[in-house]
Amino acid sequence: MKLDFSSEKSIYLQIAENIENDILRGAIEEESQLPSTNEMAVIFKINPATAGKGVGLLVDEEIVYKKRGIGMFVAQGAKKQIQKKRRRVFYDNYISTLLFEANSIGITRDELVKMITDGGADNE
Amino acid sequence: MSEIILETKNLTKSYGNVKALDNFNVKFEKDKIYGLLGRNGAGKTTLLNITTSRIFTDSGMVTAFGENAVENGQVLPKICYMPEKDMFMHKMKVREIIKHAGGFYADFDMQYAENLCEKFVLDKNKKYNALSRGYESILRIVIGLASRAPLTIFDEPVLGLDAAVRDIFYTELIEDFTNNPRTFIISTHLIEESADIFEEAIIIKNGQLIEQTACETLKENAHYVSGKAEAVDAAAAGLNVIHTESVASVKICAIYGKVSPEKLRELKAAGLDISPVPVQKLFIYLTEN
Repeated sequence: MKLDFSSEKSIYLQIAENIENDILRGAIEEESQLPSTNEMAVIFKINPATAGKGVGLLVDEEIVYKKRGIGMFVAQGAKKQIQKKRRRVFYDNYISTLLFEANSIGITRDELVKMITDGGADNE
Repeated sequence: MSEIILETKNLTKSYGNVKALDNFNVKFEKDKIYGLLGRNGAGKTTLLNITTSRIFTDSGMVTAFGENAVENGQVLPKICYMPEKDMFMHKMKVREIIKHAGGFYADFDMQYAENLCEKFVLDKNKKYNALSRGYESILRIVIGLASRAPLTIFDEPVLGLDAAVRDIFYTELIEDFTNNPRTFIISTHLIEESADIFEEAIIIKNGQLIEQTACETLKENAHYVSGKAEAVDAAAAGLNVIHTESVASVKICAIYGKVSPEKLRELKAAGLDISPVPVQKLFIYLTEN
């Protein structure tokens, strides 16, 4: 998990996304415990309130839940939940920019489709 | 709002014709880390000196822990102020200075002070006047942290410290804050590297409070908009432009204020380049005359 302090994206958003990425990739299992926000604060040298805000986002989306007196745990079905959420913003976050850039440099829709189908094997 | 630890009301202080503080109103809450930012001469040190009774205000009030703070014996042991300049007896040894300082603060933790001396490799047997500039700062850091004072104030704590030691300080600050919460006010010129430690930033300009906001809000609300001059001008109309630069026909504007994601998408779609403003640059623009 790494933070980009110079990024446009707020630190708390990066924390939430990083945790989601770890869940998607299986690096953090469902029902396993997350590091505490205090631990995260010390590791990343950020204010604990920022770490708390990032985790709070995940709690709101029911990706993570609190076990009183113990800590934060990844919810059952969190992976599916994240995939669903990411599908909804996939167009805005990736396709939109892709189409804009392809258009700027004169790549046709057909060329684009070919690139995607070939999976980058032939992109001269 | 959580409990207010320190509050000033209409604080005014002049030195001859110069108003160092001009009707200054600010509130600090319990268990938060604040960054106090301002240009040289903006009034930061005057503010800190007044709130800790080192100098007196011309008018206005300071309340700490719910009571009038001025020379209040109940309140002063709860406040540890480590100023930028010299405050220790030159011929005293570090060990003696720490012991002596410990007597001032109700919650001082001597064991923690010892641990910190080891962490920072501070020689307790050295006399104060034999310390390098960096170690003078380290001594202040040790006392400030070990004071465990509910209100702990550092004025330029990392002067003369190399990057590695500054790193140790920030880590130690956050770690101790999470284990023993208290209110920290840290005045610093090293904005870029400390901005993420602070929960809130307080910006002073010409003796006035110009901004008090969560650090991430500062970042979220600042954008560079760049592109062809006409396009930038059109986009920036109605927005709060805090800085402009031109290179040939390319114009770059820094805008400050809440901008919706839709508006940002709109600007990008219009061919403009949107990028984040480093917090140090933002500070420079906001405090420009």
